[in-house]
Amino acid sequence: MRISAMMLTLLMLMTGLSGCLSPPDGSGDDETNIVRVLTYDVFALSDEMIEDFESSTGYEVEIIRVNDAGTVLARALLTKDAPIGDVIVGIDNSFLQIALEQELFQPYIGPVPALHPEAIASYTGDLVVPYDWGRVCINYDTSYVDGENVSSPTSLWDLTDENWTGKVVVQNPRTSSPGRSFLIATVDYFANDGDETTDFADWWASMAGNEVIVTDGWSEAYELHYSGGYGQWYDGFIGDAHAVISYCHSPGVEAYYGENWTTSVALTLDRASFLQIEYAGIVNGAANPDGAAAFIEAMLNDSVQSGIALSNFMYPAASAYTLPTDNGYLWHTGVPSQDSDLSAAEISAGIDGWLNDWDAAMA
Amino acid sequence: MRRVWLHSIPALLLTLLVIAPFAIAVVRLLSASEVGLIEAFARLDSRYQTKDALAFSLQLAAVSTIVTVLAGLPLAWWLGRYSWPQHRLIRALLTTPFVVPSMVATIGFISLLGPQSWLAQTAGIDVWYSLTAIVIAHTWYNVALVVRLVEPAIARLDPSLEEAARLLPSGDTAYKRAVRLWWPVIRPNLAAAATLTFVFSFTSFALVRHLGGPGLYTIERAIAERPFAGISGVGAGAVDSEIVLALGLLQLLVLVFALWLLTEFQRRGRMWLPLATEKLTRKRLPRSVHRPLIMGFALAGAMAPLWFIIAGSFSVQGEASLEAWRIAISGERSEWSLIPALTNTVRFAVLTMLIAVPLAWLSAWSVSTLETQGRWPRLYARLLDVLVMLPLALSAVMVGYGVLFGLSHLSTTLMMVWWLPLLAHLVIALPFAMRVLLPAMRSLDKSYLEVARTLGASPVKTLFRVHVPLLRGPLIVAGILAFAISLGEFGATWLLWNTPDWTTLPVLVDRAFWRPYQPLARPVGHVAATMLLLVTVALFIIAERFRVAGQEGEF
Repeated sequence: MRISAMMLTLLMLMTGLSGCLSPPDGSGDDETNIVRVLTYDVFALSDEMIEDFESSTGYEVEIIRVNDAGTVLARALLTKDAPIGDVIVGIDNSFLQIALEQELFQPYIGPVPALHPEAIASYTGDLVVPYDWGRVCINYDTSYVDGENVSSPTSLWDLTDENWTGKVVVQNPRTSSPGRSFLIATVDYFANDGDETTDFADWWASMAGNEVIVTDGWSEAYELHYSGGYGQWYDGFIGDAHAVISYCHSPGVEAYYGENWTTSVALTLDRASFLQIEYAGIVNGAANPDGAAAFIEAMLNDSVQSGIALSNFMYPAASAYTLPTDNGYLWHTGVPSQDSDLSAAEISAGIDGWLNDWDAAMA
Repeated sequence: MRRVWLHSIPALLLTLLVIAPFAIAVVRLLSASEVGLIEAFARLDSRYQTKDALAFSLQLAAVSTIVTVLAGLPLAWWLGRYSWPQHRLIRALLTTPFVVPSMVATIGFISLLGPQSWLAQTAGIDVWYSLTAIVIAHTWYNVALVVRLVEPAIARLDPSLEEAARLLPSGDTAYKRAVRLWWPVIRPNLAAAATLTFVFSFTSFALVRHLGGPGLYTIERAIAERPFAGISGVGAGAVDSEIVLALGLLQLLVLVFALWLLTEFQRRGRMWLPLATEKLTRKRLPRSVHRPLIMGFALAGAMAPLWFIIAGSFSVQGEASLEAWRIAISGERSEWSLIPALTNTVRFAVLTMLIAVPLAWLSAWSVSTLETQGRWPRLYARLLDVLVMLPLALSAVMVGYGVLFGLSHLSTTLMMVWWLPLLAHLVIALPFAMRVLLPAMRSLDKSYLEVARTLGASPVKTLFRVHVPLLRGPLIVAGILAFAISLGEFGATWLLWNTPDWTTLPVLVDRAFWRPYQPLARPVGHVAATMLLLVTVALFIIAERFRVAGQEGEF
């Protein structure tokens, strides 16, 4: 009797599960109706944006979301012969050259609004379209820099002196895109600082000697270590670093959420910032190129572009919009007079060597 | 040997599930790395994350193991030796941490030891982002192993043995008895607990990722964050592949050695001891303050991180609030919806259990049947045994890479199939289920089955009416173990994570903790961790009810 009872329970479990056993995606739908979007944490792709797109175009969106920007490119390359996505959102200009060399994209021939000059500074072809951009640079906490004992840095070398020992947090350029962007900026900065005897690797080695904190990703660096950010509300907040690699407009975001008050400020030295541009593109061999094009069009429309400063915390690509002036968002945003100036081809040719140099300098 | 084809099924399945993907992963990494294996090892020393990874992993695992044994041994001794009020409850509470998913524990320790914690702020004890913090967490986890494995050995030794020892000159002092009687009795189980602690600490990922902070890289952490591993024709792909390959193989070597030690300890330590029921052996708890005090302290320590996990879910920016629960349950933001993540987690866990247990059964049956037969069957049985254990020597992240490359090698469309994480869970859970079933299957008197067959029962009838009922206890333990492992699995699921449809609770916790500019993100992480904790504890309570005498020694 006990056996049959057990079998019965098992059977009930199985039938109860049969609902779960069927694949969760609606693979029974018409294939051409589905747009598969390969992306990472691009917060502009909010629930509302997806719903709007689905209801206005009739397409059904399937999000393929991976852990970070590097993984987006890696998965796209791994599945190049039979793409898992129709459209890729979130490849930036430091990775773009690889994607182009590997012929990941096909042209987008659709409406593009007028764009900020910064958004088209790196690439002007039709294989990918920029949807947002921002500058990566050092942010520092003015409550630490009092002007008496510690003054504002006027050169990146200042960060290697004893006032900053153990007080600067950076991201590992191998695992973080702001970290990678800033590494590229340092290459250009130290190549043009008038000092022939030292280069970026020497600076990084000095930083390592000055106990620079290296995190895997932006969140850990900014939220947990940086004293000038909003991280104080977080359980793991340490606040031991007074300078961090973030965006030049991060102080603006701080001010926006802090009722026009922040102690954080961007270090806008010439060539010490990297203009990062994020792109969307139609995958070469996509099952649904029309749907992919429609999706890119939607990312460039007014409602997404006008909201991107607050959804994705970046400058919109469309020149009709910029950062909001509310609560001092725009006012607290730093704008360097000159960004680092390396072409996509130079970055592509140099990046692997620079990463190895960085590894060696930090090891 | 009549049903040869039946015996070949487990070997075939295991080859497909474990060997083939791993081999494909190695080949793929080798071809993408652009340098030879020797060169890859040599270069580890010149890179930031990999320079100290092996040394640090070994150090972390060794220190964790020593501290765990030192902390666990007295608890196991007192618990096994004396009869405590609420004995079962104490044991259950002490061993709860072991089944708590690593992601959940991580959240608890951030609140308990983190820079904002009472310990750091008021008591001034700052261990955050250090080896100490990870060791504390590993100890918290693995003391349960020591208690679980060593306590029964102490509690069930026939007391007449100790009485006899008292009368002999070689056992007339407590010290002599400890060395000559108790040490040999507990040594095999303690060695097993220590080795498992070493293995778990050596491959721990979620805890190191969140508690270790900058600069502390274990092998597992250093190989997990390698997005371009296995991608040919890209500079970053060559470097990432080289690192995963070299560190992955080093890790494999260490783990194989540790597991070999484990089986040696178990084989050599096997001895016949007169056993008695726990009611007879336990002494009355002496009237002293220190034992209950320390035990109370240990219980509080075991529960503290769990308390903070739950408390954190009701607090937003320092204010009491139900908002995190509301937003997680309502599912109004898809990235934070609790219910789909819970469904996914439970779906993977149920399927892992339903597939892993029969597979482990079949493998255990093949091994236990064949090893009593001629030379070739015995050889096959040994091979099968090793094959099933192999995933234990592969860390979760390496299993993840195996599944990723193995499947994408067959067809890239397979990378999106909903059962991809299930494969990884299966590979990880299988050896544990097998470890529970195999000893039970070995000790089962096969004549029961033969009698049933002689009496005319069909093979199916024999299986379900005799074989399964006889092994009901171990089967349930194996099932629950497989379920629990899948429930808490983080490393492989995180690595494979491709779509929100696969978000399990541990992945949801991790993602919520790295979500920028959202005051609600961390409380939502706490909600997901609390939910996962509730499911785990419920499961654990069920498991306790099925703990059958004679099974205590197995995990």
